[in-house]
Amino acid sequence: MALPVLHKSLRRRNLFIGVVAFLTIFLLAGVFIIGMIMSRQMKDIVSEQINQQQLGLSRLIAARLEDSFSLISKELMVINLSPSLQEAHPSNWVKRMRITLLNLEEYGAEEIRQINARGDEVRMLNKAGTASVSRGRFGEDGYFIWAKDPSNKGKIYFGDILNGLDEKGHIIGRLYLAIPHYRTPSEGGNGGEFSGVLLLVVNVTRLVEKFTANVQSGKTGYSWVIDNKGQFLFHPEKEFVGENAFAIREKREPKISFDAINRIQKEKMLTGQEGTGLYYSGWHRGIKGNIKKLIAYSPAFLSRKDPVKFWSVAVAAPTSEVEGVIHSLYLRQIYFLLIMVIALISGGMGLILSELRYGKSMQQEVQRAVADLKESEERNKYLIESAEDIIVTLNEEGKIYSINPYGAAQFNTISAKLIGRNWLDLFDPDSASLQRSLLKRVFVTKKSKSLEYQAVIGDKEYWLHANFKPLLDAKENILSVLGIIRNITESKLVEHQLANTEKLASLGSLAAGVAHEINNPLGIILGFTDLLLEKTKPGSPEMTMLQTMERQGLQCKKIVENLLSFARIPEKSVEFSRVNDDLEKVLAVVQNTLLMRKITLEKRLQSDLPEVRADSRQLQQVFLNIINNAIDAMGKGGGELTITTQMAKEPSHLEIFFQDTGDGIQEEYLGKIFDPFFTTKGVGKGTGLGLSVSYAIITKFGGMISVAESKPFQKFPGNSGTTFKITLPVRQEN
Amino acid sequence: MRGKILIVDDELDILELLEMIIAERTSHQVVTTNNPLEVPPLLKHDPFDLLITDLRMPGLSGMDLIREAKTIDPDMPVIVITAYGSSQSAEEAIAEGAYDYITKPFRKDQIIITINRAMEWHAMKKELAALRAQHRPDSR
Repeated sequence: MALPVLHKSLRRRNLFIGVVAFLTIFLLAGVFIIGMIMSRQMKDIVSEQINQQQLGLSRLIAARLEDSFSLISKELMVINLSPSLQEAHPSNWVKRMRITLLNLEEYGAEEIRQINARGDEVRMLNKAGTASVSRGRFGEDGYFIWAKDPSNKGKIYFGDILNGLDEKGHIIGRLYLAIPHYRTPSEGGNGGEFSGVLLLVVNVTRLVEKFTANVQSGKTGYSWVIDNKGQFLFHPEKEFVGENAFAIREKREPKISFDAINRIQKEKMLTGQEGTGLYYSGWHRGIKGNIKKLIAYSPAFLSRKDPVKFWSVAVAAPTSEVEGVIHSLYLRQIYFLLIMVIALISGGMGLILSELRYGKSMQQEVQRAVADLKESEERNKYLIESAEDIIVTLNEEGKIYSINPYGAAQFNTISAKLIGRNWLDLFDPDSASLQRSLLKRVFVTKKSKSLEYQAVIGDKEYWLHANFKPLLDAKENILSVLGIIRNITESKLVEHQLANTEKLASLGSLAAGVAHEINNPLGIILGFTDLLLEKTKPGSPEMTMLQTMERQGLQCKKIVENLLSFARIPEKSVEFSRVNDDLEKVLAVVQNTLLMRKITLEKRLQSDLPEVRADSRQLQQVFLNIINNAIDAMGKGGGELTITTQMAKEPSHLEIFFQDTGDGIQEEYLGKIFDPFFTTKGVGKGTGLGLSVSYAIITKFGGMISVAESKPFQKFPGNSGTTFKITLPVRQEN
Repeated sequence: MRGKILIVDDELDILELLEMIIAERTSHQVVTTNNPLEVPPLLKHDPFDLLITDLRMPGLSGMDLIREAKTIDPDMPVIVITAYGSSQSAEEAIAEGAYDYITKPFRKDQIIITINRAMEWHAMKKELAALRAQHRPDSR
């Protein structure tokens, strides 16, 4: 190796190492910053989650409190209906009240009292079982005045919380519940008059303690409850109970700002809302200092009917619990990221080295890829050339750049002969102009367009589905249009047939339903007519009238039976018949009619036609129907009827043509003639079922019936007429 | 021969028509009802020689009615009235134990023939049962 070259490579190597070192430091710093950000986010997420859990706890406690109050209220309602309230016998009263006190003891019930209607006497029973009667003036008490108001009949009064001492000398809150009592009518005298008040005293501190004392949020979090005046009903710190929540904190730690918790209490808790938040406290379970806490709170409503009285349940835990968890996590995360970075860098170095070493083999790879590409191109070309759709590329005017062999074959030529010619010249004028506008739209919008259309190629009609897709270069200029054209004639025919069959089937069932309904009343009419006929004198005018009624009724009956048989065309029978023989049989029947109507008949029946797989009787029905229609169309002036049978172009089918010189079918009717009940004949002349039954029969045997040509007399006076065409599959020789 | 016939159809006019036809041509006594649910108590109350019922009725279908009648009096023939073209339901009714069927809209003579046939068959059944009872007095 020459010296300058060596120098150069050395310098390059130094530069490389420098870049790597810089990148390493940069990455490490990045990892550290990301770690910090992530840990902060993590803290927020975990705090939020803990607070959501606390909210769940506070909701649970609130729900339990609400349940307790509904239970206490129910018990009051029940006892209020008890006859023992009216008993003059105090012993029964005591027995009954003892049961209630026992039931409610675990909910903090302490005492039950009953004040008489005048408000000057009270009976009492406390939970120790001591009963007493005393006199006094209770009529001015708030609950008594409330209870006397007749509009409060059946309601329960919740008083304010009054502080007192329990038997152990602790401060507690007491709640007075009252329910007005009315005499029931069955107790004699004038029923329904006010007869006093029942009063229940509940130790709410005990009640709340029952649900909150054992609640723990996280490791050290706890719950406390205030009433809607901001007074503590329960707090783990015993001396807080009965105190005003705003005042007692200030008193205890004047140095700390309680703004946050005061705002939460005032704006949220005391307005009956639920939610979560953060605040600073001066203590937590014996630890003192400025402690940041997470809080969640929910309201508990004492009565569902009276949302004014509620308490607020809070659950609080210090944020330090979160910090501890996050801190260890965060350390682990940093270690993990560091290891990742080191692994990345060493991996990167390894990669670069191997890159340098294997540059040569890369070149070989590229050559192989090029070869692969060539192969796939060949494959695509093969796909296009063997596809069963016409695939063509065109310019804006429709000039053909390329076309696949299958496409060329559809025009009975080869691809090379079509290139350079205009695509639109290969079609009939109608479909050519459709495709021209489609091409224009693709060039203007630069978007793919699809179209279904009918087209004539040579002398054949097709249904085609074309998709024209713009081929764009890198600058979004259109180079040409790729057209993929599929022949959907088959599926279109099937679709059409399906739609028609559906229509027929649904109309058939409708007709059958109507026929069934009409059959009943018709039977009754005919039955009574029959009975009357027996009772009338033969030859009298009444007799003639009745006979006319019966004749018309029988006509109705026939129509109904026709309808019913139309709805149930017999299923496919496996049978073979000769079309020519069937035609001859029908013609023998209508011969006289043809003579009378001055219609000349020309038969062009091809001999030695193969049999068709169809039921002779039903085929005859179809032929008769079409011939009758032809006779009607030619009216009284006579005309020509030409019947032709021959093999179709496909050797699997034969064709039958009925050509008349009648009035022809007007263009707007062409789509409807196979619909049931569609008729152009006068009222009472045609049922409109003939052609639809014919259609059902022919399609059932796998054939097709259609109007091959119609020249309505309005457009072709003197040269009008209709040609019906039936195709039927022939019997396959096995 | 005079017999008792019970006719059930939710259509009052059909009941009237059948009643008139039977009254004119035969000496049978006819009881009619347009409520199929009344039939079982009527049959339990006193015996009939023949039951004529429509197949499509609200409340209790003709098929159910045949089954019900057969449990009360297995020997009593039942004739069902079916609509034109629903021979399938007529066959089902025969399989269920009906004696015969008439189709709506019905013809007078057809009905009378069917009714008389059923009545004769029932009379024979009764005679047969009486004869058997005479030969085996212990079976009482």
